Amino acid sequence: MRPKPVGATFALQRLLVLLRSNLTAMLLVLPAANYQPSDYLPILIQFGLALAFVAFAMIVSHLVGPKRNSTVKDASFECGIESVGNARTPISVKYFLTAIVFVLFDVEVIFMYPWAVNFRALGNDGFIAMILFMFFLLAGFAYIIKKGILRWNEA
Amino acid sequence: MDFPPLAWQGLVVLVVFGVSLLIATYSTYAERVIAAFLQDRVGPDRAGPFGLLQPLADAVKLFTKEEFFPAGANRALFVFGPCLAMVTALMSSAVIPFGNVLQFGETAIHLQGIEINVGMLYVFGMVSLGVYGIMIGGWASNNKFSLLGAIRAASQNISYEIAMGLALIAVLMMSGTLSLREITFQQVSDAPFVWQDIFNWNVMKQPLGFIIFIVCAFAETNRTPFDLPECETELIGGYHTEYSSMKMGLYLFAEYINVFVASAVMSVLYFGGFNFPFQAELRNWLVSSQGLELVTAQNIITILGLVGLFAKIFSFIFFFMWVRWTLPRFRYDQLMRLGWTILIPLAIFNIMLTGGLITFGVIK
Amino acid sequence: MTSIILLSIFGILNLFMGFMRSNKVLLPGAMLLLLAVFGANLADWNVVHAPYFNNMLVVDNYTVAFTGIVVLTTIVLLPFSRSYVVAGETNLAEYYALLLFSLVGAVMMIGYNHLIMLFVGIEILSISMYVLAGSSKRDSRSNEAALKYFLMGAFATGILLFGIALLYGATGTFVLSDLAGAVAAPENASLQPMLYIGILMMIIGIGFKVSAAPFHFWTPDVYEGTPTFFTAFMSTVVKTAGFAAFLKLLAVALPGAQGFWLPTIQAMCALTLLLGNVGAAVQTSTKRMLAYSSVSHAGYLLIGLVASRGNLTGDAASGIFFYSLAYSIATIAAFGVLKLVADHRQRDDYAALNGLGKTNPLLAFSMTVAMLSLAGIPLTGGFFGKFFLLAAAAGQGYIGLVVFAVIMSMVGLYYYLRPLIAMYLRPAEEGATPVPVDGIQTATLALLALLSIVLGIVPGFLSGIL
Repeated sequence: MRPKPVGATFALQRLLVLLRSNLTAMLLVLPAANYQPSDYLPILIQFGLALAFVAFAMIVSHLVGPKRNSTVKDASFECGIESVGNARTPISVKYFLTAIVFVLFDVEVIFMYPWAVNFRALGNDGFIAMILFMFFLLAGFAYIIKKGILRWNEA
Repeated sequence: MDFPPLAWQGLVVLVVFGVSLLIATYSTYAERVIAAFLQDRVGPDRAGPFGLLQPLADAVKLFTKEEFFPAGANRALFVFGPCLAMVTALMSSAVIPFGNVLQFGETAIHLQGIEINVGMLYVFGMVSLGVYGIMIGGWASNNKFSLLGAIRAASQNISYEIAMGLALIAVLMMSGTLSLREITFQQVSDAPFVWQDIFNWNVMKQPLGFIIFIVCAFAETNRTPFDLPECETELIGGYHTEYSSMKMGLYLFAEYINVFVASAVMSVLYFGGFNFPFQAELRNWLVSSQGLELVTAQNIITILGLVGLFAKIFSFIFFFMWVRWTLPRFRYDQLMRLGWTILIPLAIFNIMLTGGLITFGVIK
Repeated sequence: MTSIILLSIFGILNLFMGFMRSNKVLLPGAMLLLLAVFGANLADWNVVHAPYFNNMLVVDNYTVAFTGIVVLTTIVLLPFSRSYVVAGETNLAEYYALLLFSLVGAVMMIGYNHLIMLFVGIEILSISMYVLAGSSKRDSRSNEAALKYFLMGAFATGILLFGIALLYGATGTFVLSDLAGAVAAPENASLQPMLYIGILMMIIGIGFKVSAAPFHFWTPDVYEGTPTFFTAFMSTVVKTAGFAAFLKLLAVALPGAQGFWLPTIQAMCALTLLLGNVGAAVQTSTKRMLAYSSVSHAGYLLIGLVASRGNLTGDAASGIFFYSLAYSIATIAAFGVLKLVADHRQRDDYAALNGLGKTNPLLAFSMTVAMLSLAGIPLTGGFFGKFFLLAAAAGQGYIGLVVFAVIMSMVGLYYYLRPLIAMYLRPAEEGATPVPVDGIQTATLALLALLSIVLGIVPGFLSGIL
């Protein structure tokens, strides 16, 4: 005689737990853990496909389209009035500052990827170290913001 | 018929490639239909039934347009810009896990172009490269508006990339891996309550991170309200002012593919990827009540998961378009301020919060 | 280690102090912070610390002693930035912060135990200095100095890095003590040429930073163009830290290769003494003279390296410590006076000092003490500095080098006495007004003169500490 279940709900839950752990075990059929350089081969295939598509588009549109040139038509578009001077002029230094700050912060972010992936393994020490790191990062960040890197209406 | 695995893999890559192109093509159609719907208009309805052949007509039109080179343009770079934008856009879909394994006898097909352990970094790298296409094209045009658009695109993309990376770091702290496939599997629940299926999605644990990520995704794909690089009221056409023919087409295409990839990444990272609610119960039901073999049942689940993932992706694409016809464009200083002074501090706060919650055992 | 942490935090603090409405509080604030660092550093004296960061950094008495010099130098230098406060310089907080950050680099250079740490330290120090050299943004000479310094410095750093890489390639380690073993007993004799080229490149790289001939050519131009306040910092802190690093490298890591580097350093030493002293003698600008004089002092310090013969303690090391201290004190006083005078009279040649003995007796007195100390006249610190170094060298049998150094310091007398002649024997220009000096500068100059004399009368309390 099997023991009587405590209740239908309970039995259902037990069943579900059982099934799910099975399912999870089955779902986790992952490819081999050690990656070979050849695993990246499909990327090359994709690159080849992308390149082929782009080349196709470029060549076909080059062959199919009409071509009629004239001096006025070739001038770069400036709302209908005659274009003046070279377009490659110096631009606001703010963009440059943004780029510099980006380099700084992107390096910091990239530095954080391995930390984030190993977050649990690093434990509390890792967390404290990163809080300190973030503090310095934010100190520098607050500094540049206060220095007005984002005040676009000023020179 | 005994295909070597690489051939299968190549086939999957080919399909993924075709599907991203197809989706990009029909995104243009969807954009118009949705715009028409939101603005209470009819929209495209001439080419084919319901205007379904419209993208085809567009393609033919773009191919037969004149190829234009402005005077003073750097011709090599002028061509290289759109090509680069398109290639990088097309390549980023390679690592996205569109589905689990399909098992046919001995052959197992992973519905994923390629599984690499740095999948997330790969997507990030490709997306970041995309801005070069815009930069190069805008600079090569020798047009002031193009240059402004290009510069704006560059500084906008790099600004939001930081917040995006920081938002992602919170997810990585929970997952402990950069592989998109493993992140998907981690969003399967073991708990007995069906609603845990959805509660186990990362969006439930990272709501703030998700909001930051989606805002940044809008900015990274240059979609309204962040479409300042091509903002037509100020810059005519922005970086592609001087472009015509298929070169212009490649830029537009690249944008839609980026939208698709961004939607797919968000679905995988935050919305459980190809997991869907009740999948365990469904499989159990298929095996026990319908008498199917476990493998067959699993294959059915896999296909349903694939459909589910695409449903999620399409909802995101719809959301992108919905926002486009709802929100006005930011001013440039507002855009930079949002990125630097709101999103980045919020993202760092999110990292600290996540770290604290994990350290004190609130979330696993 | 405490000093590195404090300096980093205080540097950031200083940046934020710059956002206050008035910059009057910056100068006393920075001085107080540095005094705290100085105290924290002294607390490490004779305390044994385990190496930090996987054996990358050590804090021992050597580190504490030289860190003490650079921090003290910076403290006594700060009052001379008063003119920036008065002029309402908007970037003053950044200047102070960069000084503090470069001190972090200096301390890392002094305390390194790992070649990467040396490199990082040199970079932190140098990059701050590149910026400070160009801090006078509207002055084309300052811009030129910054660009020259940056280009040459980057080049030298590259050479240093090549040297480190070759050394690593030949020995397989970055840690100084392991290097010593690997250099003394090489596992693979065929790698010896690589090792020697590596050593040579490192000597070139560091030789550039301490402006030892033949890598001194940038010094006069850069020192001249750089605002005087930062020139003083460059010629003292950078040199002290550079020599501390140099001595440590040669004495701890490379005693096994003495046969190779000793002749090299000797040759550099003789050349530096010659070019520095002769170069200084022909200058007409006080600032350029001080620049060449700093080259010549690098020569005297190189004698210490020769005499050390692979010892981090003992006469030669103590001599380098004492000499660096005396040299730093005298140089700060000289540049301080020069800055005050040049700011007031708008010129920096010898004639700028004319009649200073009448108009500003105190300035003239401190300049006199500084010059005598630099020249090595008895009863000043500079005398005992030279004495210790030359005695150590003579003790090791380098008589020729010692005789040459003595002859060269005779040449030194010539140009060190020229400011004195200008100050006391030449009349001031018509209507020359006294140079304004405020209380804290007066106190600092008096303190510097006193220190020079104390070091010259009772050198014993600091002479043998290493």
